[in-house]
Amino acid sequence: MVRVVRHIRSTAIALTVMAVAVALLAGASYVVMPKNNQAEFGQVDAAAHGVMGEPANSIDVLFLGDSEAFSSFSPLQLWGERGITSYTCATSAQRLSYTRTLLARALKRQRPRVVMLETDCVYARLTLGDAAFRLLSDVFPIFEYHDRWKHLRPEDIAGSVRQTWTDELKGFRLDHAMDIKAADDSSHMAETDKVAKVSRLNRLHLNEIHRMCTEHGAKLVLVSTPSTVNWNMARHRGIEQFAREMGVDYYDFNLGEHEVPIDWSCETYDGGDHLNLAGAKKVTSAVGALLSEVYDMPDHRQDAAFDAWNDAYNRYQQRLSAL
Amino acid sequence: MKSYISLAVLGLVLIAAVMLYQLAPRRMRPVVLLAASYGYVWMLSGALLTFLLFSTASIWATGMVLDALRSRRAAELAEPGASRRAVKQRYQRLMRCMLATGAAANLGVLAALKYLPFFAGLAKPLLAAVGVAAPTAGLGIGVPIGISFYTLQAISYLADVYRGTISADRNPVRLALFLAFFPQIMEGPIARYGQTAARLWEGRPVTAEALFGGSARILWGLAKKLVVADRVNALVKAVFDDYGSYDGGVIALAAVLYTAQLYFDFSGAMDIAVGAGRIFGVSEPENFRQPFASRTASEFWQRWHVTLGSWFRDYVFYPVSLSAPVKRLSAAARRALGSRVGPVAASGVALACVWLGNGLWHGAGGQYLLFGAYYFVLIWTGGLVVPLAERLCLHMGIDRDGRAWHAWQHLRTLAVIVVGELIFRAASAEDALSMVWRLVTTFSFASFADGTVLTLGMDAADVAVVSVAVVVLLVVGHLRERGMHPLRRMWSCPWPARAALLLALAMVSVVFGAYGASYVPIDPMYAQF
Repeated sequence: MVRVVRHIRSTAIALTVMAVAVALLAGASYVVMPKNNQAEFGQVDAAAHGVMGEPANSIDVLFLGDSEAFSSFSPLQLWGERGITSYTCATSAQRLSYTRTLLARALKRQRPRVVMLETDCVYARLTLGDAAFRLLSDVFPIFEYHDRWKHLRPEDIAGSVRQTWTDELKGFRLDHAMDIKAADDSSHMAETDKVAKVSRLNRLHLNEIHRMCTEHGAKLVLVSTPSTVNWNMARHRGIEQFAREMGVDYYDFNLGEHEVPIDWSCETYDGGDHLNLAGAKKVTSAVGALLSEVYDMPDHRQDAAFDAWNDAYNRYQQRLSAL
Repeated sequence: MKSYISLAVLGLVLIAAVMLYQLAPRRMRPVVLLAASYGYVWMLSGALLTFLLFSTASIWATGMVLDALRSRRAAELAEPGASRRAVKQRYQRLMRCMLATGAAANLGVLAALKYLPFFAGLAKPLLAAVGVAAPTAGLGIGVPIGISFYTLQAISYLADVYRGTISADRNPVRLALFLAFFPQIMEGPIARYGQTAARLWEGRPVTAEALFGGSARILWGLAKKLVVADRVNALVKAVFDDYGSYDGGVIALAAVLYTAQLYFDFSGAMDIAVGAGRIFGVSEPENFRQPFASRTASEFWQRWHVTLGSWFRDYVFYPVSLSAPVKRLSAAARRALGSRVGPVAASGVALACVWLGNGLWHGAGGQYLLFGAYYFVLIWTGGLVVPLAERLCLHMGIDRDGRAWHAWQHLRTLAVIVVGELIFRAASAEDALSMVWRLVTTFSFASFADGTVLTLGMDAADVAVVSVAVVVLLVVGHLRERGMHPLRRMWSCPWPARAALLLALAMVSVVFGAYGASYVPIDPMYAQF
């Protein structure tokens, strides 16, 4: 009897300690969470999180991926040419665990018809530790934002979390728009029998991303943007094979009928790794054609509810003229 | 390794091991610990685990032979009419031979895996003379985790069996567990067989007190590493990687911060190892005893990395000092220099062996040899000039027991430690000397006055956190010097107070830890040695 009582007491103590630990983590998470989705409020990767500030259910296409995505897909060009509303939720060296997180955050507010995933991040090395840390940070944001203790203000403790800001370029970046560094494309997409395998952990994340898209009525599409540095035939085969297994569409803009004719002497800013504005324009046009013709995306340009997009497009044009 | 993989794996293995250990019947618990230890080494070093198995097998077999020789010697000595001196000499030769073979096998593996390119580089001119090209790379198979630590443990076991301090262990599993116990294999402490083997084998149940005490010590160590050691890394790395761009003031700051980084990182890792051992009822030897409270370089090494220092004392310094040639040298020095200075002068031979070994043990690089030479010169000459210093103080009316003199000794020793760590951290011996030269010749506070130091990877908030942590450590260190142990005192408190301490320690690391996107993860620093 004494033993049972002691056992119950130990279990109660352990459960109490665990409950207090969870409460502490949740409380600390609330305090350090940015109170708006702007960099000034401490938001990490603010441009990618700007999608949260877009009007609810206003985005038809979501672009996900790493730097290849934010230097290739220009949502405002897509709007100007096709009237398609889109947003680029891309971050540097994005791993698929973070892709999943960004998608989950975007899907809380948006109901995109198509989610286009740029495939470079499918080959980004993802360790179990990275994935676990990401999961932990999603549950308790204190792990992601703990360093914000340095900049805490009184309103961080009592204020509510609002997400009202959106990026002027809708996630696209013009940092190296006019820079040029020619690439050697002599061996780009050279034939090989090799197939670059997708790691087991990345497969798991891709399947989860696919499941989330399906659950929210979005079609997942894999896209490889032109890059002489990051893309090759082995990776093409690897993604082609995986897309077939998963039952999703795959377009490779590096070769075949969907090849985008990039002039590697002047349409890349870093020797073939990323595209500059000239290259991005070509890729965005090709994506626009696909979205309109294959996925039947609606043109909202005449819809008064989307007037803000016309304004944003005009400002975008002015910025391009000023470059 | 540039991540927290080894720490994360240690955490996972510890949690799994505690659960399985507690569920297993008592006699199987050591097997659970051994399986967890081998699993840990396998996860971090893969097939290089073979070298640990080889070490275990070699010292088990050598120990058994040494024990057998001792028994035979006793039997022969008991025989009537035996020449005791001849028997003793014969067996001493045989046992020495066995000890040397066992030690050489283990040191040979260590040398081949860790030091081959370094020694080949040193022997390059000699090899070139006979037309042999020196290898520029190692064996290319990597180095198993903790080899420098478990090799010293293996040799100490053999030496202790040879000396008769302990009997050879007939049970290879117990010996294997002593060598491989996972909390200590990566960075020590370097335990002696007599300190841990028996307790590891007992398989005591995990008690609530042990779990609390061990967890508190682990969280304390984790906080030291995450909050301070990893936070100062950005500035330390920036300056050491490009010291030519900074003035002496910044170099001095980087050296001070590196000293703090190494202490917080290494002592934090020791807290984790000792705490994990405590959960299983094992008392690991302590590796740090408030080293910055030292008043001499010699005292510093009795307080810093204690188990390494005592290993070199027991297995290098004493054997060399007591060897016949050094005894003869000592006698000659005593006659020539007197009974006070003479023995100190002769002890230079043993000291030189210790510091050459200490420097080399840390790594195959000129900076480590310079580091060893630095402490050799300081400690040896320090001993030689003691009579002179005493006379000088007497002449100048300085009270050597007064507070002012003690404060001077503390400051002087801190400077010695910081310069030593600067040499230790430098990329090469040349860089170390250049940094010291630059520190002295370009010293200025200009970078502090204009705020440049706050742009090198540590802002004002980082400085504040590190300062608070240092003050906390100083207070705790002061209390421990006075025989009090704050963490231990908490064990007698009611459970809510103990739980609050655990949660507070964990939250300090979660909130103030230098991890995540803004920081470069640093694996435990001594794991590389």
